[in-house]
Amino acid sequence: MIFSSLVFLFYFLPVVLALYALAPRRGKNAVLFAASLLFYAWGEPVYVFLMLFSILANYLLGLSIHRALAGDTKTGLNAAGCAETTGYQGTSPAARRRLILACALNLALLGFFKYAGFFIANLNLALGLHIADPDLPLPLGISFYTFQAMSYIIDLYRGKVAVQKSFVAFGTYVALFPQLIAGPIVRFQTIAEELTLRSHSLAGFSQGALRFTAGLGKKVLLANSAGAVFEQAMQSGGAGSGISVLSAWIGVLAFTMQIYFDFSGYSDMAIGLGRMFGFHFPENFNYPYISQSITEFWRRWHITLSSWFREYVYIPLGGNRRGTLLQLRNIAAVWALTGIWHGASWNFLVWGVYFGVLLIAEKLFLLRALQRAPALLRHVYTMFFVIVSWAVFSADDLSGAAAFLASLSGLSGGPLSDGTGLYLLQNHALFFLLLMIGSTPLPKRLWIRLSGGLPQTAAGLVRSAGMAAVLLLSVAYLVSSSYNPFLYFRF
Amino acid sequence: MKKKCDPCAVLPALVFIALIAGISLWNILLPRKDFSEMENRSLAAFPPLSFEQIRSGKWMSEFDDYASDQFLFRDGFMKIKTAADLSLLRQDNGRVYFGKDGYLFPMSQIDETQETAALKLVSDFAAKALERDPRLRLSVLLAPTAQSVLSDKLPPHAPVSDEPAALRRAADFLHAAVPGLIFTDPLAQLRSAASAPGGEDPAGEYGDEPADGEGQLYYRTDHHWTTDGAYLAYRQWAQDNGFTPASRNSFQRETVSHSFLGTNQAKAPGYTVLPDPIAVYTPKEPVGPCRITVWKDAADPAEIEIRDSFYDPAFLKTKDQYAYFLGGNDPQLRVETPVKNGRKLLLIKDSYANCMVPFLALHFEEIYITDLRYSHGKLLPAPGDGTGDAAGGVSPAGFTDVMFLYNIESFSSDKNLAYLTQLKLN
Repeated sequence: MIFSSLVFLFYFLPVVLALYALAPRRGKNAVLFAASLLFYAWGEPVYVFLMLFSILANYLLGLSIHRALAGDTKTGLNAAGCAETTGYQGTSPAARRRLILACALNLALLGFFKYAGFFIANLNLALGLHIADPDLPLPLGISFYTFQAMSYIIDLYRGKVAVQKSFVAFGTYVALFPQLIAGPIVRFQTIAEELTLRSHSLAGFSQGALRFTAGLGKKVLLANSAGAVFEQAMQSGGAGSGISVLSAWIGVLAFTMQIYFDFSGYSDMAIGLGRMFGFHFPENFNYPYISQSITEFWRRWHITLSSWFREYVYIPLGGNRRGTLLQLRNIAAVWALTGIWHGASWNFLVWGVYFGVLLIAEKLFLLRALQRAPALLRHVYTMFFVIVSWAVFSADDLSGAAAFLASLSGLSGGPLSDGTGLYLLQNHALFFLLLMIGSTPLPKRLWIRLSGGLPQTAAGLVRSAGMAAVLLLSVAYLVSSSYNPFLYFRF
Repeated sequence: MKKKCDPCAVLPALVFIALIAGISLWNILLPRKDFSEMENRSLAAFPPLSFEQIRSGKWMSEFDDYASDQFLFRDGFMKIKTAADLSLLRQDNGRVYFGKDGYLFPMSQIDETQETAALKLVSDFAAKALERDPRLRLSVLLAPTAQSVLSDKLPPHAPVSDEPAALRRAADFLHAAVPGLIFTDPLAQLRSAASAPGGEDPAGEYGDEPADGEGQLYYRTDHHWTTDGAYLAYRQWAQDNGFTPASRNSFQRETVSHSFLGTNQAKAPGYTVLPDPIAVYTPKEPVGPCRITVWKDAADPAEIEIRDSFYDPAFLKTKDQYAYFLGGNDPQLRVETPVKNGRKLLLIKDSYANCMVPFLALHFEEIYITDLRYSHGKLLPAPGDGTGDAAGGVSPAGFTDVMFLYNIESFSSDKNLAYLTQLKLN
């Protein structure tokens, strides 16, 4: 199921909210866990059992690591004090063996279901073999929930979190429907406490409702419409001839807007839903398109993924503490992994490596040079490379990416402009202007300035009215439009 | 953290809960609708539960359709969407272009792969039919749609499929594949009628006083051509095929409706448009009654209806007023006319033919009309009287002419043309 659907909004959500409110405190996790399984099974009626297996395996391995550690140190960890504990406690070889087993199992599941087809296809190509492709559809959200489960296992071994002895609470953490299929990637330590003890208030629910509706509007009103422009631009070329340079740029700009509003809208909806149920999820996007360097961009884009890789790959590899050369290797490794995490295809690997190269260049000299440049130039530089990266990202494969880049640069032999390009330009100029303003903090600043003079009650009324308007307008779009794509089926 | 009693802090929560719960309860209590008048289509019903449907995920996607189709104020919400599109100065809503003078144009694409397949199917069928009966006369009439005839009414630069090129490809392919086949492309004729000075009435054929909608070749609110448009194409087809077309002056033009809102309008609910008039051409000198047999169900050839008119005024009171012509689309029709010339036509068609059949009937003794979408290529026998050789019914046979009549958009996207391989001429 996806949030931006009538079934979620008017069948699933009201029932779950009602059951959750009615359930006694001790039963609330069970309601969330069951709801999450139903939510997942709606789109993946078979793979829900794979997710249950993953939850059960990680739960048992967690208990077993905990026993091995406890047998070693005899220091019972308590729920509240765990975050203060520093350093690795996992000196026990038994615990270490179980950690390796758990990581291997998680990566094997991810590797098999996500990368087997890609691996076999390339093996066949390279060695001239004919191994049959298992041709498995990718289980939705497997990259997200596997990474969440791994954060628990690794932090448990490091002594950073306490063991979760309740299967329902652990299952709720891994399968929690708000962030299950498109993030944010919530590390166990972030919500470990709230899993067992969290407070609910109408004020918190209000914040959640406002945040959720804002995300819904971003997804349904902005991202879907931008996506339709992208599709139209990409389909404009006739058979054989490429699309025009103008259409290619309109297409890549539309995708730039689509992916931001879609992805950050999803995160807003997830954070808002979490807030309704008493959770505080980490922020995932922070106006990435105002960045003045690629380094800054990646501090603002998909923040929870970058921090996951920093915490569990970059720092364990030595981070920046073992000299520049090793640091560059670590950056390269992280970005190759980041790329391939987004999908089992060469263009994603290229996309990740492209950012790795830019980040290394910025680290070595570019950032210093940029600091002397005017802010506008820094922004243009950043957005140019970000937008070009989306051309590679949005393609189905490497040759599609190459064709897109050729169209953008005018090397494809397509015309400079064509009817479709001109039509899309005049038809969506106002919409694009709104999108660009919407991707900056301007609307929020404007609201703060305008509402500053209002009495509290009036501000609350305006907020509520705005929320109702966005919700109803989103419903109008959902009812009338068949175009509602889900972009993360390859993640 | 704000205080709990602060109304500013709790109001959004209350509004959100009220909206979500209110709409969902109202939705559940709302009576189900089978059909949307506004969109002119059947609405999805609650999908029957079965383990297999759930395992495959099919049930869930059908439930999604059901939830969307049965949503409360569905029509109202669709109007809001159109208003939002228009306020962003958009010239389309993803389904139709908002053209000049109240014209709406469907946003369609010609699939060239499917088009090639369609041409191959037609030429294979024609070649086989000619092999069996070399005297058979074969004709193909492919109509352009409004977007290529009234292209000046499209929004500037609006990307539309290249119908002129598709028509040329069809002509070249069929001429090369089936010698003797007569291909009629009325694009030039319609274009000159539409663009000549004096509006859409170049030769003043429609008289000095343009009657209601006279000379309008396509409906503004519907994807079909008007009777005026169909007449021009008929005239060209008749000349191409050696008939003397009935002159414009031999008909009485009558407007039977002023309130037609067609399929284009259904794709832009809430967009204010002028309703279209519907006209018919009645021969001034009565040619005598026709007898029309209609097969309503391809699976049940015995379920037939007999009519004496090409028109069904009952449909003028419904949303789907174009069904006034021939009573809509049925699997098969048989038209017996007072003409005595020994010619018997098999017409393979889409709905563009429905308003042209009355003209064609002037030139044949008998016309069998099959709509492959519903007949699936089966020629249905007329029910027998239970005695003699014809006890099991008489199958249509002895055709002297075969005609294909489609618009180019539906011709090049209609997968049902594959049923031509089932269609056997006896």
